[in-house]
Amino acid sequence: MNLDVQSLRTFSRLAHSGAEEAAGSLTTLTGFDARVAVTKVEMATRADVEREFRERDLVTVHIGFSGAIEGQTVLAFDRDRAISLVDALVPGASDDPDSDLATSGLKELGNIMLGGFIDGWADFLGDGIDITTPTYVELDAGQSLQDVVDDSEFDTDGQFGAEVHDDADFGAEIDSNHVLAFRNHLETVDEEAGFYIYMLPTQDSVETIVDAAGDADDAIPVETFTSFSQMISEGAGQASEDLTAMTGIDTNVDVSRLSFVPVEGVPMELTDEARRGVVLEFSGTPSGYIAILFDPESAESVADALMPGMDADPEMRKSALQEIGNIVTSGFLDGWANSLETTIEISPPTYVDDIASAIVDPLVTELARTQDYAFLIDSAIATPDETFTCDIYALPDERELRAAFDQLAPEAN
Amino acid sequence: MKVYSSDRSTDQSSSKRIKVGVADYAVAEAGSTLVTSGLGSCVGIALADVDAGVAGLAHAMLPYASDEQDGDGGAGDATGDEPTDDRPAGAKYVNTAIPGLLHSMEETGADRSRIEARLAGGSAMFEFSSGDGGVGERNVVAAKTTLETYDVPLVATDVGGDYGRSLSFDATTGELSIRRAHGENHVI
Repeated sequence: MNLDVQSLRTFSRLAHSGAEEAAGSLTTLTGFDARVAVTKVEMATRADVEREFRERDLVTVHIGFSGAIEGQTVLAFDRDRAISLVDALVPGASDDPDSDLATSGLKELGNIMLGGFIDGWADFLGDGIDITTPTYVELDAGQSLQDVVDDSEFDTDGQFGAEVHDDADFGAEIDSNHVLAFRNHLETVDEEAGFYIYMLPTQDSVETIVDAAGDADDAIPVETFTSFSQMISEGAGQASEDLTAMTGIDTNVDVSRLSFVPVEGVPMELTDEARRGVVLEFSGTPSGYIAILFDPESAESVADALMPGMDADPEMRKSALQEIGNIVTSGFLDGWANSLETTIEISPPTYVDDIASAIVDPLVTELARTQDYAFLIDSAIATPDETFTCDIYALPDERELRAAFDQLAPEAN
Repeated sequence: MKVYSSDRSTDQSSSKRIKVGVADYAVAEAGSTLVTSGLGSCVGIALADVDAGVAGLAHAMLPYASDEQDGDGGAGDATGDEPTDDRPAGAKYVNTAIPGLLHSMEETGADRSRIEARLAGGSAMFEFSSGDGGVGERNVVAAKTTLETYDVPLVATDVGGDYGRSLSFDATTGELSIRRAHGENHVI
């Protein structure tokens, strides 16, 4: 199967307008004034999606779809959010959030929101898409997405009923190690915490949409994206090892993700709280920008770890963070150069201590001069004991990255 | 069913906080506050007709729509002129965001002759070797020029520097409050 940038844009637009429909339904039904903050097409592995679900205390409503395309949609919200929603839908039901009354309220909400989300895809494909009855699922730390799918009363006939279907076909599709996931973040005006709509189409369905939307000349085998995702994971792993070697503190890669997002959506992914770290420019195939950011406490912890027992002044702490930025960037990018058989040069680090979204704004603005969408690579390296977290954002030039993909393609075949 | 649209001006009740995204603008009426975060080289253009109680805030990324056409699939070509989502068309560029916002404000009851502008952002945080640099500064120049073209007086600015800004615009008073990562809030 091949994917091209035109298809990714179409995917992004369809997912976004679907999410707007869903946000409109939410506003109508609950009075919460919701809007779509960011729509991302993630070249994710199943494990990545699972991790995101696990890390948050999410309650979810699942609806399967079949017909022109097949797959699963998931409406997820924070538990607190779910309770306030239930109260808006069925006054009084939130007194007993586990009651059937409460969960059926959420299921009905899911039915309308996800139904609206799917409609646009059916219109685009000019063919019908049926949705199944909604299933309410509470995710907990021990449950994987696979369990959820297996547990779901997945009813491909779209008939009402609570029979548990052992839908082996669907399970097998989701079981593939890479999926395209459409992640839509909805937010209400007064709160950051929001709602997420995930759409996980089967691989065959992705192919169906690519056939309808794509530009075959420009297509890249989907395995290339997988190879690239793998390369990003390895880079994050190397950066994590180097960080551990430098600080003497064990670290793990928490997140490592490749996504395709409208350029203006990138700063909106970041907080408007202060972050410290470095920004670097890299050049080669591809060139681009990288930001290594720490929250203020993490920045202090890292500087302390580098200079144990020293009463370091602010300038020394700044140098320590710059050095960390250098090390993490080299670890992160060296593997790319090897895999892509190219040289990637890295500029000296510029120290930053500013609003996180404002730090990436000039990076994205440079890219926006020549591209509407960006491949965003985001990784997080964290210590198990929460001493510090290091966020890495890399923004390669889109066309140069496509050229780099050509280098990766033969390996994938 | 009510269809949600980007025209957030129509359903504003009192004391609302309205978020303006990147490459976005919105209009609000007295009692509301327009907010936008993370201006680096981007500029925030805040317009208000205080007498009518109508205000608008734009968060634009690049100076001119026509200047940035330098590649296939890039900003400024056929696809670049369409917003990628519900944000208003043209909100990405200073020279198209200003007339778009003025028009939306007039539709909400503002009188063009009373509208005053405040401008913030356009900083130079980094010096990139690849870019032709100075996007922040060019954004500021484009905003001043465009406001002049439309005869909108610019009453206060907080532009340039090497730091980011987040904005909060009071639609009742027309005061623009500017927050940095460190230091006091600053009102213009």
